[in-house]
Amino acid sequence: MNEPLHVSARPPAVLLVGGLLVLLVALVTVAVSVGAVPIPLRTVWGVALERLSPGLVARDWPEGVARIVWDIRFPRALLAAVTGAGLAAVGAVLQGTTRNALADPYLFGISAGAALGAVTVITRIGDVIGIATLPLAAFLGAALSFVLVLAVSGTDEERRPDRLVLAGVAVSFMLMAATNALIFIGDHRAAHSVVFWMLGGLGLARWDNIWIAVAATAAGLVLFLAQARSLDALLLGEETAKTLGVSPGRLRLILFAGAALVSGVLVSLTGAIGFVGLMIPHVARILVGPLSSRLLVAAALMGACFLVGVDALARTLTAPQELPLGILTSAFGGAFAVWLLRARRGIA
Amino acid sequence: MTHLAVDALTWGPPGAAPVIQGLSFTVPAGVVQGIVGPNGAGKSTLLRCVYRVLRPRTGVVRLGGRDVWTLTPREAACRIAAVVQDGAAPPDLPAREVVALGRTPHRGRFARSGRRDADAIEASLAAVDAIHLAERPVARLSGGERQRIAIARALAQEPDLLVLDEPTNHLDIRHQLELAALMRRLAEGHGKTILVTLHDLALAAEACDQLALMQGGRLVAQGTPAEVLRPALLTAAFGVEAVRDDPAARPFPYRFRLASPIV
Repeated sequence: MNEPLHVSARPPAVLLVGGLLVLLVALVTVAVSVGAVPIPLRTVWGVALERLSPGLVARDWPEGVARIVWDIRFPRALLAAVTGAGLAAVGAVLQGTTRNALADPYLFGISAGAALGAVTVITRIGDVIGIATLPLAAFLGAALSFVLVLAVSGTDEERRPDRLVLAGVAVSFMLMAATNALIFIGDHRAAHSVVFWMLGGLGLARWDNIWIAVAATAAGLVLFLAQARSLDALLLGEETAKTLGVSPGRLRLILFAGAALVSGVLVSLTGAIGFVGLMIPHVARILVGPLSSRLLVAAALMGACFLVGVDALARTLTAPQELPLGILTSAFGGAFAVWLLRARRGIA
Repeated sequence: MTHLAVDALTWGPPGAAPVIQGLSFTVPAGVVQGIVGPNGAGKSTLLRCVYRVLRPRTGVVRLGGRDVWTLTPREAACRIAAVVQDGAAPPDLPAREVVALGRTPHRGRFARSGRRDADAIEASLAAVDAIHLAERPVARLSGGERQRIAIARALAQEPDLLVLDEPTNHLDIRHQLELAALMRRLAEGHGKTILVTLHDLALAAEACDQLALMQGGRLVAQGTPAEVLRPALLTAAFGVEAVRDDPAARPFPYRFRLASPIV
């Protein structure tokens, strides 16, 4: 039988959220300051304050430094935070609704679909509508895969978690086959771009595109939190949830659509960043328990902290070379999972 | 006024033969109605129609005179609560949080838990004598305690009708007797109408005011336990012979009752 973790040892929610917010701000500051050109921590917020409200602080840094801080590193740190938060929240929701501990944001072939969209643009279409073409195609690919999964998994009544997971796997493989075929008959650039989708990265972050990620993640979080009560009812099982006035089929459809939107938008900007959406929700569940509203907030904040921190590492470990983010997240995630298994041996 | 009336109820999966057919019975408020019958008789299907998960093919289920399918799912959940067999709560959730989930249909989307919710949760825990278990995670509860918490969760919905599907499954003799006593208390002391399926006929006879015997999707007898648990009917329904024997001559000549009040 499962022995629970010590419930009383859980930190109070306010403390945890406050602590994570402080940690996130600190990590963003450090992430902006480190890199090929190290920048003092004081200058980081000096530049930010100056840009947000000119004249507030005296400028004692060259314009080049301000550019690096404001035009390159801040958008990147922000995208890291938003992506981490979005992926972790989506992972938590999908693990809850499918009752599958291995569910992650790319469950519905989202990353395979995004890769197909991106590869199609690179090998066949070209940047027909400018710089937005690639992310847009990636998003459309992700949306396509989600629609395919829904179509394959059948009617509302049949759309049970196990069928959905299997449908996701099947659609993933079909889309990957198509992507691989395109790469094989295409050119080398395509192969290179696929590596980007597989490993993920935050290199595309710019002020004029991260708002899409911010908006999608914020919308997703609001949607998830609005359904938190229903999600909690689902913890008691499908049948009991129905007797509590929840319609599991409808609830899943709403949440899956929200999850697909968030992960589709994120994957279109960052590629498939592994393990954040898989492991962070598990860690959050250990800290705050299985109830959804607490879990979602904790997972989102922890995901944000994790990805900001890992991206800072990715840019400094092998500087001036930048490590692909996915390598580090997967390495950390895998190592953490091993530790978790050993630490909770015989417990979970 | 909140009596349950099942009228000519028939249900079967789409395109297949009906699983239950032409069931009619009424349960007055504050009465424990037991359903007995062999495996596959359609007892759980009947219950699922009553707690509004299955929509009847024909016939109607009325609570307090109103067709339950004219209620919204949330309205129905505020009037009918069910403890079903799949109801496994997460092992690390404290009992009080499980009971709190029973408030789901009463609460708005973003509304915080209010005084009324807290009162209902405490009252439900008290009704099943589980105040002392409130902080304990589900994994550290015994089978009987878990069942009581599941019932407290249902009571937290503040329902008129409580539906229990095989609540004594996997429970030892003491917990079975405690559960029977609890049902009586909820009906008599709290005015709940209770619909319960039971396998143990002796327990059903003691715990229920009325019994209905089902077989092959139909109601074959209904009335008081004495009227329903008749040897001829049981033989027809279960295919077993009911023998009145000399208790002194049995290898194990005992019956059981609770030795002390519920702890």
